[in-house]
Amino acid sequence: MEEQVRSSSLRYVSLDGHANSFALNKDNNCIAVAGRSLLKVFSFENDGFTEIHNMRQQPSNNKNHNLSFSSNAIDWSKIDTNILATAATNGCIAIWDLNKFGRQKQLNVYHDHERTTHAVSFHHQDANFLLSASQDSTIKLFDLREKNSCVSTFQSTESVRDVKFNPFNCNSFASVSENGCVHSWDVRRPEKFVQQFTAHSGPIYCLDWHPTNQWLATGSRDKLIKVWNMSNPKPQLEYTIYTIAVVGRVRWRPERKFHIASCSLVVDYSIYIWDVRRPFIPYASFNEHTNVTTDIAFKGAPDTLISTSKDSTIYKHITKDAHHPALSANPQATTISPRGDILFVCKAKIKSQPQVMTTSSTIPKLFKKTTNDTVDGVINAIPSSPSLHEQFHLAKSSLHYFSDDGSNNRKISVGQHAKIDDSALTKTLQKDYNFFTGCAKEYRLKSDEKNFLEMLEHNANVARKYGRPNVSMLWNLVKMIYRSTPLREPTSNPSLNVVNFTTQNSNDSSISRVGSFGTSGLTTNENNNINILDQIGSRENISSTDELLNDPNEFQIPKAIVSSDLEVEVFNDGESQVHQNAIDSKHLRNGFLFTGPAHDKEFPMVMCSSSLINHELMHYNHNRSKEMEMMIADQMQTSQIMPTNDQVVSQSFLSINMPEFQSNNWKPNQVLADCLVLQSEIGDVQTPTCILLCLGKRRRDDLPIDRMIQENFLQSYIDMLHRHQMWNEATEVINMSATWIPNIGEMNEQSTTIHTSCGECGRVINKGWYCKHCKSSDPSRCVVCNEIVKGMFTFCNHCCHGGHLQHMIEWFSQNPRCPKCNHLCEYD
Amino acid sequence: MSSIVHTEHRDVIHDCSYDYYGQRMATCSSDQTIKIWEQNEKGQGQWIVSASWKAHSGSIWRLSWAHPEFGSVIASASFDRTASVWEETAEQKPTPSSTPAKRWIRRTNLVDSRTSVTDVKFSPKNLGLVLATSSSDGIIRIYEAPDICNLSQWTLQHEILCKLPLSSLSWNPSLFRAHAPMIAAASDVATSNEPKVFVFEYSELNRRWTKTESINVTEPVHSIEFAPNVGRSYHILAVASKDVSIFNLKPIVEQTGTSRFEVSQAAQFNDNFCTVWKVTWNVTGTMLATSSDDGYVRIWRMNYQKLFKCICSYKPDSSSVSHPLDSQTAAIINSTTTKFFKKGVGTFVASNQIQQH
Repeated sequence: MEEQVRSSSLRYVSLDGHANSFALNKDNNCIAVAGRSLLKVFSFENDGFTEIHNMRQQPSNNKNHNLSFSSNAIDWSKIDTNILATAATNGCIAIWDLNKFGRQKQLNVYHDHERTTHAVSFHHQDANFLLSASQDSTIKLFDLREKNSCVSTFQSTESVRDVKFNPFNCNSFASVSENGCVHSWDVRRPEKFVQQFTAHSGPIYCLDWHPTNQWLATGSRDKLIKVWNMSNPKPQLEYTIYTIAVVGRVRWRPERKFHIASCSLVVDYSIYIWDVRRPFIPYASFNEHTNVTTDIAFKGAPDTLISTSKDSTIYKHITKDAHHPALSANPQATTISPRGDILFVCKAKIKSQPQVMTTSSTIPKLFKKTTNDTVDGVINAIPSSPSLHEQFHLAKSSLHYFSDDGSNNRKISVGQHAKIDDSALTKTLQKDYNFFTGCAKEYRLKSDEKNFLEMLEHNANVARKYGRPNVSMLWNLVKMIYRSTPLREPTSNPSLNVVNFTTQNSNDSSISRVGSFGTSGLTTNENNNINILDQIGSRENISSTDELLNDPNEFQIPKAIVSSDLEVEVFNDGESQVHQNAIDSKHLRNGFLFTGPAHDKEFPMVMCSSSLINHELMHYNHNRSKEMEMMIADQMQTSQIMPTNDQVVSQSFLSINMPEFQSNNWKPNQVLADCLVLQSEIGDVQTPTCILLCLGKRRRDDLPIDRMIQENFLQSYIDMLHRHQMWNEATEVINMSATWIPNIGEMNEQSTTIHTSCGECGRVINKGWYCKHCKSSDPSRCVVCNEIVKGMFTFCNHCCHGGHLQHMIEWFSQNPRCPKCNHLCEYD
Repeated sequence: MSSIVHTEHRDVIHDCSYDYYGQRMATCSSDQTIKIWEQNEKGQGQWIVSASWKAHSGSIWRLSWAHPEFGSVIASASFDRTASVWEETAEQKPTPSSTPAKRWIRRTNLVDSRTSVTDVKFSPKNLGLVLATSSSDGIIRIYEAPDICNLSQWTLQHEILCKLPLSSLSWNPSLFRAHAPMIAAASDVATSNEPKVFVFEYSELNRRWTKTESINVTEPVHSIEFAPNVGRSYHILAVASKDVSIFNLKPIVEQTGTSRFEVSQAAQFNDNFCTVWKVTWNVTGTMLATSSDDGYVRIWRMNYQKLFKCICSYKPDSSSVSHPLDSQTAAIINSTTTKFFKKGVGTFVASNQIQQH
């Protein structure tokens, strides 16, 4: 006999064998446990259990005797603290008197039942009455004064698993049986039950009467606990609890009207306390047992639960140590769709709850109802602070759905303050989505040599169209790098690379882009550009610089001067007036992109796409841009004074070069590669992949991106396209990459096999249109004109007959059936 | 546009999940049912229940959609100690004109766990049809369906012991062949100060899962998720705990072939000030949605400096009120007379219920 103290409130005693059942005496200070080889009485002490009686002390010589001790159930007289009854596996009912000594403790044994007994139950008021339920489908009533046999037998229809006197009616009791029926009986009328109803779809193993209500709880193999209102002539189902496993025992929790404890017969070792109003998740659970729990009972008070288990222990559980599965369950969830729609589920917050069941007339007073009110469980009530168990059962979730409906609703909602942020979110999400799908559709990825630059230009415009000037910028950078770089030119010495510094002006354009400040500049043909300079200097400056820069001639920078890794890239977001308003213009924020020197890893392109990011970015670069601003302003003044000589202008621009950067080499490939990698790291794999695809043969190995990384780009991009269900685009990408990274190209060839069958014999044609089996090329004949089809051959999937597309269209416009075999092709 | 979807779940919803394409959505609840939702017009309409069934005999914690390559397949993890795999099947049409009835059929019930199965996730599709479950007994189980056409056969391939009760797991979604299969798992145990997030990697060579990293988050973790890789050289892992943390896992190439990661914390947001329950990424891994105990959902966006900024936060305003006892008792009374069955479609209430804060 071991005794261990696990915590101040939780103790257990290890037994010789496991207990099938136990009973508490009426004072709740002693426990009698009964099992196969076990019959003991313990008293509760402060720190454990103390054995006070052991009715199995003497090893029994008599086998019969032994069997009548293997108890299935035990009950303690509700009146006399010394009288116990046990129900044995062989059908014996034994009565015990604890006052006696030794063998005399066994007061009497009844041998009335033919088969095993499952339950015994003493009467609440009369100490002499005892009920027993047996597998032989009888219930027997014993009067302890009658020593020989039972006083009456109640014949049930099926094996009876549990029986209990009705505490509200001294002449009545209820029994449950293996066919799922509940019977209620009158002790005075043993011949027939008073009432019978089918409660479960499987055997019922247990029942318990509610201490204060006329409720009967039943637990069954169908994993349900049902609560029946027995006060009416016709029992009514009040609550159903859905448990995990077969219910072995149920016990109402004293002083908690809605709480009931249960344990399982198989699989599940835990004990649960349920709130009958919340049928799916237990209010509390005790997981200490390491084997099936055999019996449970509350120790008089609601906070102490005793249990026995097949792991040969008795536990005393204190409810404050219980686990609350509902509390550790996540009450919230979110998910984002590829489109950018967001779903958000949250447990509806309950601030309070009326203490008792409110009648319907009081509802309007207690709850504010809004017009949107529906039956769903979104709960909002008067503030107060109820305890956990009071509000436990009021759990419901609400599911919220955020999406951009793509309609004009946004405009309508602008006036309402509450809506603005809402649309800002969906706008951002939608913008991402539109950008991706739009670009995927409209990018041109293939071109011949002549149109290469045009293609890049086109893609840059597409990117700009979808509101990503930075991506557009990158396309332009690519265009710039590869404009002057002929195909397959060796670039062993990148520092000698010439990058054209061009201002290709259309009639009314101004410089809107300066890439690689002081090194290379970009221009675009946007008409609506806002000159960067109008944020820097005064209007006069603009006009003068406009004059300067509108010089129709292209000018080139001498090679020698081109050497800096410092890039200041200026771009103009044609669509970002909002941003410009939002951003303090004196800091030259908008439109300026700062790219740090190559070696400090902040590089190479810091771009902005939305005002939020822009704002952040600009704070970061504030100092740097200030500096730039001043320098540019300087330059502007200089250039204003200077004669408008191309050479001088470019010199003046170039003189901005800072000495510390001049030592660095300009490596366009490295810069481009870094750009692409950065772009992928910030989540845009589309741009680098498309750029790489566009570069085609130019995508030489000297572009310092590992082939594995390129493969990852491609694969990710293809997966993204699939996710957006852009199959055509994905297939195009896969096909294009076949010559580049064969692994990807093979994707199209995986797990797609289409067999063609001969229309004559129905067998698979392996190659061409010649059927080996028929030894003819008839399958390739048009069924309408009987000519061998060259070119497009269309055929029915089912009967394999077909022919010229035109002929088939004509035929099926008038006939639903195959011209050859009369198959109903039209519906196939 | 935001709106409330009336789910008619009878208890707390624990997970919702979009399918691969974002066309359908599944919710699971403590009421032991799974519901599949579809939008009635393409992408714009109301959410309508297309299927609802009692899936488990315990609360359902998490759901995971398989890649559509394997069909319409969903896996569920439940408090009843099991994880199930469900497949949608089209039944024979009764008449040619009617649309075929869709039914979800339980293909398998994975009963290896002795305790509540807390999470279930399908692997990225390049690994085949592979499922990982985590359970309260601290074991990650990895199942594989060797024949992708037969969803009723799953073999338990690996059991990874983690010692701590697990709350959440996440596969690294990278499809890239150079990235070894990787799983992160997290524990929500409240006690000890040990790390709660573990990263496991599968070594093809040893045919074993090995723990490569323990990430030093000591608070209970409720949810973790890897961001989609989209071509990055490193992996991003979001961790929901007392606050939100984002970790970058950069592979360190070593000669020995053993894989290690350089783990760096990319971000930590303290400003929720309360328990964060769920983190989820968008498809590009640039946006993170978090939901915390205060009822807010926040959207964090990565900017061009790879910094995360909160771009908006919502508190869905539960202005719509219903009487709990009304609905509850109504539901119960229903179940006495009729079999409990979904009365039908969710309604979709227009947007004025969400307020901005």
